[in-house]
Amino acid sequence: MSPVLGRLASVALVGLDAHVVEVETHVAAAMPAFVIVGLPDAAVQESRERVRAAIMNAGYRFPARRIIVNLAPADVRKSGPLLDLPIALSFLLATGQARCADRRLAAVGELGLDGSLRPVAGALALAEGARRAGLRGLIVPAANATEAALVPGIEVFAVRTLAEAVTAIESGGPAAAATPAADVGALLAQPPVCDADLADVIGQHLARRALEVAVAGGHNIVMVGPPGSGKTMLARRVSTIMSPLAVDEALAVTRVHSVAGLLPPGEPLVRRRPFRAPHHSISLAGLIGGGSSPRPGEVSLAHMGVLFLDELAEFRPSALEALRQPLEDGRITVARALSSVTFPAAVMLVAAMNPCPCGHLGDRGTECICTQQRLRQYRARLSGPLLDRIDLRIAVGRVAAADLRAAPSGESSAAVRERVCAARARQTARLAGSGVFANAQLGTRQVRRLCRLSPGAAAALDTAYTRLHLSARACERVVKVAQTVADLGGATVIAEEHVRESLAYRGVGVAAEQAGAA
Amino acid sequence: MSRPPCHEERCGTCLWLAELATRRGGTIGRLRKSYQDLDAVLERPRSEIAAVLARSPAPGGDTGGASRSGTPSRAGRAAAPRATGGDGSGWRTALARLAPDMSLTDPPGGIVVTYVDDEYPPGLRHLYDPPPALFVLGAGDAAETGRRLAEVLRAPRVVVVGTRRPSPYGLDMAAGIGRDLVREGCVVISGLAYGIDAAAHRGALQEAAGADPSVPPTVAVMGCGADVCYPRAHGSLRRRILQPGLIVSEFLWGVPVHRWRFPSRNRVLGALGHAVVVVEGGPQSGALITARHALDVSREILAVPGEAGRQTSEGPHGLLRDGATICESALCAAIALIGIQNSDPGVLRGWSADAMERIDPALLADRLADDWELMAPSVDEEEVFADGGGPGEETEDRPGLDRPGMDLPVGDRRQTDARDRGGRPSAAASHAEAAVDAEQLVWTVVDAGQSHVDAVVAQSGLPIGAALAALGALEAKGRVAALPDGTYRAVRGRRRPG
Repeated sequence: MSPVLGRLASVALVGLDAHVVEVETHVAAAMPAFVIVGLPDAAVQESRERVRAAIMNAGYRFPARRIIVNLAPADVRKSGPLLDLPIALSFLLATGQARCADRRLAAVGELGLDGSLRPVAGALALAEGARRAGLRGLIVPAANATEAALVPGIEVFAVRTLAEAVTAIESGGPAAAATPAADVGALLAQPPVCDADLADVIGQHLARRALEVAVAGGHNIVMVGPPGSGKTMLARRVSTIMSPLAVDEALAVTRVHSVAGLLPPGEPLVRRRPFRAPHHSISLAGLIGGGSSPRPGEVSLAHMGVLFLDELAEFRPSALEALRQPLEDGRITVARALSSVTFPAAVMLVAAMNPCPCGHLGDRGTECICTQQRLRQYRARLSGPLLDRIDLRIAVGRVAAADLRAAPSGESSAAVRERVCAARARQTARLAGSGVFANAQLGTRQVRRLCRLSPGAAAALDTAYTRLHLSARACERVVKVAQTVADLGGATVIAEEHVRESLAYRGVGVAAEQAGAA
Repeated sequence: MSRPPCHEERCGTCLWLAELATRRGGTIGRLRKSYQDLDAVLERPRSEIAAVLARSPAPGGDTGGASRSGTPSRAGRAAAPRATGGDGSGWRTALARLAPDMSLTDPPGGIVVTYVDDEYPPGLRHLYDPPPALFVLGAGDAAETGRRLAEVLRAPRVVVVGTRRPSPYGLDMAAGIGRDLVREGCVVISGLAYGIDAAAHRGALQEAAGADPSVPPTVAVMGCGADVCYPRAHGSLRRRILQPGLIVSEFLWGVPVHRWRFPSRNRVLGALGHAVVVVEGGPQSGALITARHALDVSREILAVPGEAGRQTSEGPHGLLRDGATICESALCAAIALIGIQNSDPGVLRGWSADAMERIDPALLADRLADDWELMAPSVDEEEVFADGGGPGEETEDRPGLDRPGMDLPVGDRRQTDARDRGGRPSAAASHAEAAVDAEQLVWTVVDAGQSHVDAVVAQSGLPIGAALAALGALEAKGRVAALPDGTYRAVRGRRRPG
């Protein structure tokens, strides 16, 4: 037992980013103890017990010495059980029970008491972090291997037990033993079968069209309607008419889901646009991300997909207000005392709400029992700044019983998706060089510069402005949506009918958009 | 027995009684059990009046039988009163004082008109229990308020009341009637409540904007002090009313609202106008209380028909069943005022002569039936005060879009429809034409009944985009209105766009 110092590289997560952690172990002839220093959190402190048991059960010796484990850099908080394996390996190196053949190998993994390895969260981000730091290879639990292998330029070694991990570092990680790199493009080419399709929706012409427009222009949308009118059913099908995920988009989504530990076993890559529907009782941290070592919230889990907020007005006002930054910037920064983390959050917000607290305002079947005051309070729950970021507001009505039975099913998602993709392509071409890629992101000046109105359209807009008491901001929204309608119609200039259609999505009664004139 | 009180003393008694009536409902009604009328009461010394009131049953009895049963039977109102909102001790103090509260001062622009003043609205004297004083507030100084009150009492007055939770149709009707009544030179009186009341006030103010400000377009009658803002949300509407109009109340300055004060207010409301128009209201609504009070003092009752089956239609429909006059627009109210001009000849006769010149004589003859011969005008000019509702009148300034779809027979419509879908000769022209055709198609659907966009698509066969564009175009013209539930309805109750 000649060496007293063992050293091994590992990677740890801060938010979605991985950084290298040097795991050093010193074995001293002093009073027996096992100490971990270097800002470990509770989960890392507990690894002492796991590591001790795993080492003994795997057939190695655990001498009664003073064992100090240091996690460098010592000023970054380390969290999670993924440092179990590097701590154990570093200990074995320090006690001379193993030898490291290549210092450019890193290891991550959670240990079971019997020395077996359990998968860790965020393997994709960890592999990317290791590659960025110039490491040659990464030893991961076998269950994480295919996910880590999505990252090109780093060799991934899958191990099942502590003993296999020791073999891997002693052999120096021969290229032949590495998990073959995965082809993301090929994986994306065969997306999992989706059983929801827009063709399932009967009637609802307005809502279908509005969703098509919303997806085509990247607009957020709110659907207002009585309970049971099909808002949730429609929302679940929004992601089916969005363009398929590109390679970098799929990796970005996978990174978030992996860090959150939400990847299903055997599914290393997220291949469909996410659809997240958090319950309205969700906390602020749950929605936008947070925790002492920040985790991504629902808005980040819906990155590149749909965030569906049912019963929008029932959400905590603070949570809704916090949505403003992600809706504006496409990302959310969570600042904590020790770290500030940025998560991606480019979502399409699809919201649904009842027209009034009892749900029956305007419902011809049932009388609404809400007082004016309750109605006012209900609507006041949605702040102006949040509503400003929702371009389309539509009312969804109940489908008549006769339609439910007899109506022909509508267009399939595939047909709508084709139009959406074409409109997106037109936008991309038109907006090239402007720094944005969807109509919804246009700023005030860009709307003036990039959206061309025909004389008829301008006149229609002017009439609407005075006649319907639109605010200047509402007018801008109307133009943006009209631009998307024009893109869907293949027109280069916004025509009168595009403005007229767009006005139908402006949302009567959702907010105090109109002046008090009765 | 002492000498009869002088005018000042009787004024003071009125103010004192107004305070008592503010603090406890039914005060005047109870005095009338012992005296023939309020004039007789005022002849008596205050100590005697106080003794009569003190003899009355202890608090806990019935305040306004009117408020709960909805039927203001005299017995109900004269029944035992009740302390109001913890005001019992205040009432007793005031009773013992035998004089009006001298610490009470009028707010700026506020005046008090007592029962014995010449400025007191004569209509209120018809009430079984007239308010001893009326507190009147305007935006100018006291003299200006007095001038306005005189103007109001010289003009034909129509009370427009209805539910606080109206349908969009009801709001349209209330606003349209309010607006057109002011155009006809009437004063619109209402209660500043949510819904119909507010719509009527707003309609009147809209018409008055830019017009002759000397005649107040609208008056609000409050169930609290005239200087108290209730409901709170109507602060800005209240200020707009005060600008050219008046706010009046039978209750002392600064008194908060209380349940029983609303039915009491409704009796003043009903008596202040020459006619009452009930727009929408349930069978137990305050609007009906107003109408019944108005009927007690022989005012003309009109009711706007609503949608059958809707709860808020029950009130007006019940009135119609009982013989109220149907009110489809302000024209109906105007004709009704002409019909009752002998009830207040000083005010209504001169106005009627003017108004009749603007109304089609044949229509007048038809509506006024028997009375017609007596007051047929010598003029028979073209109709100016046209009946509202039809969109035909709206199209003067849009030659290209005359009466889209309105009178189009079904056959024609199919034809245009076919042309729309078939071959198109010249691109631009046919494009515009198709848009107009789509508008006509959509109009026929919406005109037939309130329709959701989805129904419009299903019934017109138009693609969703075209249907939305057509609805947008119709909305821009004010022909249809979008509702919060995604439905569109044809706009009624207006004579011309604006």
